[in-house]
Amino acid sequence: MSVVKQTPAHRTTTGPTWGASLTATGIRWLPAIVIVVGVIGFWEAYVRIFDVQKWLLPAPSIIAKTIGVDAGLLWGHTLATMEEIVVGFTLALVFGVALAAAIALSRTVERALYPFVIASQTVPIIVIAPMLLIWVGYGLAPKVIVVALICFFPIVVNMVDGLKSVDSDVVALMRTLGANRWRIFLKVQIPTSLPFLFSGLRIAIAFSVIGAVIGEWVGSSEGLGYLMIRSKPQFLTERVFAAIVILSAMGVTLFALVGIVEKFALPWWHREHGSEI
Amino acid sequence: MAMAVILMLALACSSDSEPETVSVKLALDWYPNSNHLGLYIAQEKGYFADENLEVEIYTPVDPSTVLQTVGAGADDFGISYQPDVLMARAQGVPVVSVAGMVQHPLNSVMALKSSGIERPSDLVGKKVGYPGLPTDEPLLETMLKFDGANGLGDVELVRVGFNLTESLISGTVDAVVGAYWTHESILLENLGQPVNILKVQDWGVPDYYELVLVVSEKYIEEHSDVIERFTRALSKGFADAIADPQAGVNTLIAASNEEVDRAIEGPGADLLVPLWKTSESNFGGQTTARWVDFAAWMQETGLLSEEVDASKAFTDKFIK
Repeated sequence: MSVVKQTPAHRTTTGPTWGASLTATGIRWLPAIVIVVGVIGFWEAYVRIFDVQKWLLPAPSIIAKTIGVDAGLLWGHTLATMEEIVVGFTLALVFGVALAAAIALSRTVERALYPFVIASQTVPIIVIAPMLLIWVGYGLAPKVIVVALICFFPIVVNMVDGLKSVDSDVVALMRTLGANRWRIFLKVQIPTSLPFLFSGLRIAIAFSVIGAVIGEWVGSSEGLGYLMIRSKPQFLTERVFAAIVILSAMGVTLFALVGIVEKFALPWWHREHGSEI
Repeated sequence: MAMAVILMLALACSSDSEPETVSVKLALDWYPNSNHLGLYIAQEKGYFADENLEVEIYTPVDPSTVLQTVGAGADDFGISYQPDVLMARAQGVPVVSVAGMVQHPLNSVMALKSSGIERPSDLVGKKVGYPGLPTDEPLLETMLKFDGANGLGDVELVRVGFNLTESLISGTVDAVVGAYWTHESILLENLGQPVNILKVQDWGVPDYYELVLVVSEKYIEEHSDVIERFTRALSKGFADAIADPQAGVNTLIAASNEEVDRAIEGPGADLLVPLWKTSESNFGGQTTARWVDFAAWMQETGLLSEEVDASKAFTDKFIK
């Protein structure tokens, strides 16, 4: 695996101890924490000082209270949305990686399919989503397809770039050593492409949350998007915001999760480049 | 139109007693359709201009926000629904209905004639599509119970968003609730798919005003003269629409840049004529009994969790 050698410019020293690492983590996240606390504080103060009605803009404290009071309701819908994301994302991952491999291995496939991959991104999902409901029915399927359609593109494009970014010297060396096309693909191209793939996955997972909400928006009976659509006409703005908070938390958590998986999957890459998440 | 403006300006200059020209903004409940005939007649024939009103009519990107934009003062007038006004007031949105534009419910359950569904109890064990608005479920439940079924547990509800007609034709659902018997039914007939219509008010749901003209409490306090002028012009527009609905449809089509489908709005307008009139007044009248009874039904079915004083949700002082 260590065939992959990137430029050593970003090489860092070996990792610090756990205690120091925790403190370092705290300092690293301090700006984010300051911004979050600042924004919430300003928001709360603004709503209280100008006496903004909660149907117009609920204060963070009211949203927090709603999350507590409606915890059971929100949890049920969170699980439904999570299911759509996990299934859709997995589908996109499997098909995306397979297609990227086919594109990288065959010029013909690339010429035949790559334009369609790009064209697929110009399809306005919001228009297609309601039609999907008619085509495939009203269950989990249309939401999963929307999530997969949205996640698919960054995965394919990044993976293809990764597969093509191999060091030609390494390929030449492998050829001299008698490796065939397939071996080069497995031993050189795949490992090289993985950091690219994970970049794609991080983008995809962040988009997947929006995908699930769009899927639910046009037709569903559960999920956080559905809950928002139900709460809005009842003027329960605080519940809409509670769902948004949970969706954001979900997005951040999934994003971090991909980072953690990457760290374990590509230890060599992180040894050489260091990492934030 | 330009003529009307010039005339209006001339009038405003010549006479001191004429009220000042006021610009007001009205948010529609939906894209312009036959429900809005009187409004567009008043606009095109200059009835608003006669009252020194310059009215901007627009369709919001998301029509479910009308009560909020009116409540917050971003729009002066809005067209909304009686159930929504009550739900809004329950959450503290300060909106008041000043005219009952469509006097009876248009909402209905619809099924293809071929389905054999002719009454609510025929829906038992069937798939029913609904747009996902909170009011549709209790409406269906009341209809089912009224006809001897147990309730919503007897049917499979499917949220189909705004694909009511498509899901009916494609057979994904056996019936839909939330369809207007002055719109979707005509659309389906025109596609060669005749339907059976079950009107909510025929199956146990208390009568209510489908469309209402709303303003904010603050607007009533500060601009009651504008509201009076506005409703006077609107009444004139609807009187014309009642007298000759098809001429009204022509006006609507011209005003909407031909975006309106005559094949749907034409028959729709004819069906609406009896719903614009009331026995008490020509147009827009509202009664306390209707508001209170409907609010009681909403409370019973859980649509309203908070206590709402329905008599404060409307005022009939602007309708003569």
